Amino acid sequence: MIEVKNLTKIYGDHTVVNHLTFSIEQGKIYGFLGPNGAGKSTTMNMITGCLAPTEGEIIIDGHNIFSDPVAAKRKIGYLPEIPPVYPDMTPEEYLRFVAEAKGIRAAEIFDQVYRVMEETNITDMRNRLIKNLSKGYRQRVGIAQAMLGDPQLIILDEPTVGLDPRQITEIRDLILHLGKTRTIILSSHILAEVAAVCDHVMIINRGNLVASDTLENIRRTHSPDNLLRMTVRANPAGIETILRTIPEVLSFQTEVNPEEPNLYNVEIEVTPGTDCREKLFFAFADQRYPVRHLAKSTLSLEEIFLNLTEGGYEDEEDEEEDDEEKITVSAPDANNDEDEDDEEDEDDTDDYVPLFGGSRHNDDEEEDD
Amino acid sequence: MGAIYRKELKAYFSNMTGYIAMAMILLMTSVFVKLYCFDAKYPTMEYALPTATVILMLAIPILAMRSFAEERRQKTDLLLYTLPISTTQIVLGKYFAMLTVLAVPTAVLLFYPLLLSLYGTVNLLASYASILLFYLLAAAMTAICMFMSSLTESQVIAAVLGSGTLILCYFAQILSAALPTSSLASYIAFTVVICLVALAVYSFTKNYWVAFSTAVVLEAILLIVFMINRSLFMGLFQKAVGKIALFDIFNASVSSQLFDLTTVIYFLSVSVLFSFLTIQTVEKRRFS
Repeated sequence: MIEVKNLTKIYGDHTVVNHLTFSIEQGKIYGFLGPNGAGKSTTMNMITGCLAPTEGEIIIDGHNIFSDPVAAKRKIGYLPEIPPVYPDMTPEEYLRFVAEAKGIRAAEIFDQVYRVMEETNITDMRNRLIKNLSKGYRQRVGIAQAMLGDPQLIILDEPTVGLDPRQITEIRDLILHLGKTRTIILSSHILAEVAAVCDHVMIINRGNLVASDTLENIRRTHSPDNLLRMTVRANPAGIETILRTIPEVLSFQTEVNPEEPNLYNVEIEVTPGTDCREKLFFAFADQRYPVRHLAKSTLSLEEIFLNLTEGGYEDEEDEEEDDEEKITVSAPDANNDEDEDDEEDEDDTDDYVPLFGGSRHNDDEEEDD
Repeated sequence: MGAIYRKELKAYFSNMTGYIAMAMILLMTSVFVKLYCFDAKYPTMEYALPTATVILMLAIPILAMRSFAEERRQKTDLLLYTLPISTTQIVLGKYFAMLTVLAVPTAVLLFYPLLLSLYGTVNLLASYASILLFYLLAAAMTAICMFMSSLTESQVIAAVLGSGTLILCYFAQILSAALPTSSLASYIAFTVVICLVALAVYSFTKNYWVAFSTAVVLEAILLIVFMINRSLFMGLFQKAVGKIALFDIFNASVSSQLFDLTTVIYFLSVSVLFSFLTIQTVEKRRFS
């Protein structure tokens, strides 16, 4: 459907999109995910022919967007970040204009305009001036415009930005509905949105494609297998003594459970490829320290997203370390540097307001005492 | 192109700018036709139209200011870029819509010679030729102002740039009389123009080498011509400035009462040139 090869955009000496190569297959919903300023809109503008790439090639269904723009553009419906609507027109007038400009035959214009208005639920608003419509309705007029001419590919740049939760759900349902018959590329900096609708996710950071797969695969391939999380009722000294006796443990980090002061959360790094969960359980049980929770740590999608796009949030980065209630202890042969890296990751995530509904510690196993 | 044309035309008739421009042109031309033709009894448009052209300096920038600046401000230019139509079609669609708006007051003008002929002998051919030239002058000015609109995203700046250029054209003849006529002065003046062209090239391409080599090549040609035939440069810059005097060219043609084809071609060339430049500016925005 789309072949993007070596796509690059350079403004002055700033590389916004850096040698992107990917292809889009027919009939799927693709999510383009990345922090603000990652190059999502620039890439989309280039795919739709609004912006010329500095380098690279974009082929849409066999037509090069630059050497054969008219044929290529017929295959695409595009909703830019700001819906390109004329405030002094009514939705019906506007859609008629777009339909005419897309070269739809006069006999079909009426039917098509009414059909897209029905599908996007704006029929009731068709005679109001667009400047009097709410943001949500304008967004829908924008989507309706993209649907005209039955393009096989619809590209939506941040379609839910600035909408209220109900409108977001409605737009999401609309996208799912459209996705049944068409290929859709959707950009967002909101993980939940992409998780809710997309079959395939492309994570882009600072103009580079850092991951491209289904969400499930991204989660699997980017989760570490050598991290355990444990909640135990004990004292820090006791925990340390026990953990030092277990050879698989490389390093660990203890912090007070915020809910119950005499509970401790311990994050344990073990030798990759080993599983010492049962050993740990019995070691603590022997000392009559109740283990409340013990599981392999899987990173949540959010954590993976943040790891992959690390440094993308330039403005929001906060390097301050807060060690107040943390006690970091390294086992004798542990790698200190790695431990510090982990700590910095934690700091980044601390500032982050969870966007995704799931819990931070998405556990696959739980053992209660 | 048809879709853009219809949309633009509808826009001019659904907001103020189209009506304001039409009303201004119609009012001024009618007032001067009344004063010169009906009161002072001149049987042609020889005095009425040249006097009325002053209003074009105001009306045309108002008409053309929104054409591209507004699209950029509302971000609807992205829609135009994604539609399966070429930039040329977009520009021409808009240009023809403006020409249609201008045709409305011009069409009213067509009745005046007939009305006048009820009271005496009127040189109908000369009158209609003048009206045609008046329309072509307005068309050339529209192309200039449309180009100015494509340079900015502010309608106000577009209007000011347009008006400024037209005022310059209006006074070009008078200003040129004040210019020195020596060959050296002409040579220096052309060198300055070449520098300005190089600057414009740079602002378009953002490439020092292209701009610099353009300047060097043009300057070399200028210098060679200057060396070979110094006398050619005598008063040349003055003449060149006189050539941008759109209004004076129009006045001369109308008052001669001869249908001067070079004037027609001149106005058409200006229209084509600035439409072409507009297409380049709009197209260029995709590369920035």
